Amino acid sequence: MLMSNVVEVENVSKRFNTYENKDTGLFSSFRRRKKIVRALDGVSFSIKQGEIIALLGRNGSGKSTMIKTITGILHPDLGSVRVLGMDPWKDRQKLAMDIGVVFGATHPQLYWNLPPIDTFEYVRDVYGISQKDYKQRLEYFIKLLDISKVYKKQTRQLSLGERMKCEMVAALLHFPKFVVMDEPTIGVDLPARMGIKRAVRELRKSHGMTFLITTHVVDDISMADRIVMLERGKKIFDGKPERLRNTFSKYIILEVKFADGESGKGFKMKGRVISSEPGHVKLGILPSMLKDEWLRKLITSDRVADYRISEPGLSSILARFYSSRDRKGKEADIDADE
Amino acid sequence: MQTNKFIKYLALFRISFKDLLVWGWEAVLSSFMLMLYAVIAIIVWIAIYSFTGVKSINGVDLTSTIIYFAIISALMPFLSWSNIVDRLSADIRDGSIGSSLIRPMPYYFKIFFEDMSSGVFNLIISIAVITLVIYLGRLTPGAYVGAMFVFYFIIGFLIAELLGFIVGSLAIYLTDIYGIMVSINWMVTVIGGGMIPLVFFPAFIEKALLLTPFPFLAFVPAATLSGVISIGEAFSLAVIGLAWLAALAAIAYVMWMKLKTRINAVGI
Repeated sequence: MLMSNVVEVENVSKRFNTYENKDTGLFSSFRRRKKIVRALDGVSFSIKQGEIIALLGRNGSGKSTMIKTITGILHPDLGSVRVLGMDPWKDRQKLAMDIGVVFGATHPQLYWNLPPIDTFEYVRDVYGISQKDYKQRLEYFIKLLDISKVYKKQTRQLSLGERMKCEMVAALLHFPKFVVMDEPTIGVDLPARMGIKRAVRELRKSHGMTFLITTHVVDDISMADRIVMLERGKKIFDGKPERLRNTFSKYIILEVKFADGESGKGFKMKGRVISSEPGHVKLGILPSMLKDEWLRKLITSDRVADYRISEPGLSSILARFYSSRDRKGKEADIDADE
Repeated sequence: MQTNKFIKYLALFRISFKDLLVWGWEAVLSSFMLMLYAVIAIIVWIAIYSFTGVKSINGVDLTSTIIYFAIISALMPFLSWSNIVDRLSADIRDGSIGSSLIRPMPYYFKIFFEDMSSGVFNLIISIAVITLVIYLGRLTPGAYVGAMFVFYFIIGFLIAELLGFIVGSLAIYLTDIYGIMVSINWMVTVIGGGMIPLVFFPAFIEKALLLTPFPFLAFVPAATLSGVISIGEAFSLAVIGLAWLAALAAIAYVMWMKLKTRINAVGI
């Protein structure tokens, strides 16, 4: 299969004007100062046809600005964006025929007072889908996302998970080549989240759709081929999910339970103490330490009831990364391009 | 996939109308509430004529005044205000304008056709009331007056829509546009002929007010059909109406360009 680039983002920068009150008095709203926020700062990446990319980053990292730029809602101040060979800002309406966008629960596409089927029919007419194709595709999505019991109910009566699945159908009925999903699983229960993830994989496999998914939910990373991570408008990671762990955490976790209830008194231990309670110690150690003599002595000791060596979870890696960045307050970016 | 523009906008109109019908009774009630306002005006003018004992004011008798306000009551739900103001300002404030821009259609047409759905709802009520007024008032407008009325009705509707777009887009600068909405409603009411037929004012004031866009939302169509102004006078106002239409369309375009820039600058 020819893997051409569906999205090409080159050195994109975007600044916004915001305003903040100078003081807190009664008339402070009249005394505002303009602030320029650098939402995107020289971001570059590309997405190949058929890839599933997770765009990670915390609030204010630039994820939403990035997807608004890619979908043609915003124009970059600097740099260039090409999606399916088009300039999203100039060719917004033409591009809209070939892309699908699922905004999370914040900006729904479904008509709130009507059942989703009405929105589906509206989408059919807007995108010029023939009645025959529409019927086939609707049946396909009903089965794929398991919405047979919900798509004729009033949208306002549906659960968030059911709504998100129907939002997906409304965004994908025209079988777009490229799909952008903005936090599709926020607040969605586990079965619905699994259903959405399964559908994304299936649509990629059977229709070659390309996905860009922004998310806060670390669990969603499992469906991605690649992760692009933004922090304060800059790209700080672009690579496979397994590389994220190695990039942001040099440590592996060693947990030791002591039979005598002591916290390892008398043992030589290296690495970083993550937590220490009576009878239980959790250490962050470097993989190179696995062959160290102190570790061999520790885990073979009679005083040790149990031990476990594991890789840290992505949630804890990211949490630690963010807190360390906040502490440092500087932008020491990790260049991890593949 | 081939998209037919007509089918696309018809679909938008259809779903918006269906959405409105969910709250059908509320829509009917709000239309009648607007009509109630003109009924109050009729009662007030009956009181004025009988208290002062005058047979006519500036050549307009009580019967013509009642017919005038009965027509106003039919026009008010349709022309007095555009829902575009609420839709556009809400879309700007909560950022959902972004999600509208991902569909393959221009945003301004989208909200126009959405508004048309509620417009048609009101139009049905307006036609029913006007038919009743023509029958009960024994009006014989003739084809020429009828055509002029339809012409000013369309001009009035388009002016209302454009004013709505311009005021709604002010939400990019203002947190709350309610004050402006109320002010414009009062303009339509007072200087647009919603409460006082403009012919009741001294001639120089009437002429000055007819140079503003507001009489086209109430006075001009109602006065044309009720015969409060002659067909010649009505015809002479066409140039002003069309000029306002062109001017407001140009302002709306400028506001749209500002709006796009603003979205781009502050990332609404």
